[in-house]
Amino acid sequence: MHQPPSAAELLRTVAATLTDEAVPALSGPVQHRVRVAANIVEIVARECELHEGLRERETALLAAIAGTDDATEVAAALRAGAADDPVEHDRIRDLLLEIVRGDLSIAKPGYDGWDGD
Amino acid sequence: MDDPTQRLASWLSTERKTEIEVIDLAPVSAGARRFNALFSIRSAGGQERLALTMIPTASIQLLSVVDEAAVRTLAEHAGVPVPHIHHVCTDESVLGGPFFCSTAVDGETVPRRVLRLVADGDPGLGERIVSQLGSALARLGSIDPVTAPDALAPESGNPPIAEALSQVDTGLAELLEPSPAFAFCTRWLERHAPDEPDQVAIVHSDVRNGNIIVGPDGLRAILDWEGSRLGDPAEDLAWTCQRMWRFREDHLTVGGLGTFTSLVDAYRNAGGIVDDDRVRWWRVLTTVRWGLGMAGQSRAHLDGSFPSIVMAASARRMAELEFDALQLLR
Repeated sequence: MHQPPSAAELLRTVAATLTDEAVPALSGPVQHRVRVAANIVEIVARECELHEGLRERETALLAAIAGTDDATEVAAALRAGAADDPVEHDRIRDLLLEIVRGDLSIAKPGYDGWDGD
Repeated sequence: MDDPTQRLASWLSTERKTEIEVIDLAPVSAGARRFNALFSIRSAGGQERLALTMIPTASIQLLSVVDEAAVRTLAEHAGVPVPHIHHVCTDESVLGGPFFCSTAVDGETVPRRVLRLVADGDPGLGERIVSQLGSALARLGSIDPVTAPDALAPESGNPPIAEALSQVDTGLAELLEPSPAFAFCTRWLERHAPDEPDQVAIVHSDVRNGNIIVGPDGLRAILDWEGSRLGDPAEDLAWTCQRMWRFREDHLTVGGLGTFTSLVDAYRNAGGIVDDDRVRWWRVLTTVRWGLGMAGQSRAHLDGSFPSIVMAASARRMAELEFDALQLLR
């Protein structure tokens, strides 16, 4: 067992170093790539902390969609028409939105604050 | 003659049959696919401000500069605001890639600056820009497709709806991990596919906040015609509405600038025909296609064909498009 900082905390330190120290010292395409790098490190930091809980939740949500927690089988069932019925369409869309909200909490927190036009 | 400024001046002097001096050549943006610069030319006739668009590697261009110039000229004649093209050069020895020179149009192009300009400008500016986009797209759609360069027809020969569904089907099959969300959306797209359009039209394919020049007076030009092709004109209307072009101004459907109503009213007033369901279908389709494209960029990084940190990160953006597409299916 490592002493703290945790993996996520270390990654946040890396992200802060990139953003606060490297980005201002750079310009042009390299600066852009370092900004992207800092963003990736922040995504991975969130993934370290949230991944396990989200996987469990995703498994339950997948099972609620089509009776299996295998994402490939769920995708195939949906492509084959498992959500064609209007009531099923709404129910399944909301479950899929919950799964995607989980992914967004890692990849882009706050992006899910939009309810459509 | 190693200096690009000198080589450009020499080439332009031959083109115009008069001695031309190139001054203040300054890059404005350098993407992976094209290099844009502004410069001035000085001759006995006076001084002129021009924009240079160069494709550094001819092999990765979507349309050749000749075809792109031809489309832009067709659009200009139909009344679409486009910077006038003065010169087209296919000789790669001049600047290292094919290029064209057009009139330099002043104004803002960077999305956040466009939104700032609109926020600081007169109260109707955003809606005016959206109306001007609507009129411009109707005029683009009015061009006889027979006059378009041959390169604009899809290689597959498929009509637009079938072609778009086929691209999504392929993109879905190529995913390295399944996407139940996109499988759901694709099934919806297949079941709700509109009829093929009665007539294909020139589709720009990337009209959005970020590819327009805007001033305090409104829309001045539509840029970046390299993705033009023959298709369903409803696709361009749909693409302008995508959430990723709103830059957090989510309540204003068209580019964070104005409403869908302003867009379609202007489109209809300029003679265009809009079917709201067809536009909605294209919004879902282009959202899914864009998301699948993000995953494709990361595959290109992983398989070594285009290693890049930007491409590597793209797949993590797919969830944004899954979310937007599902929200469109309420």
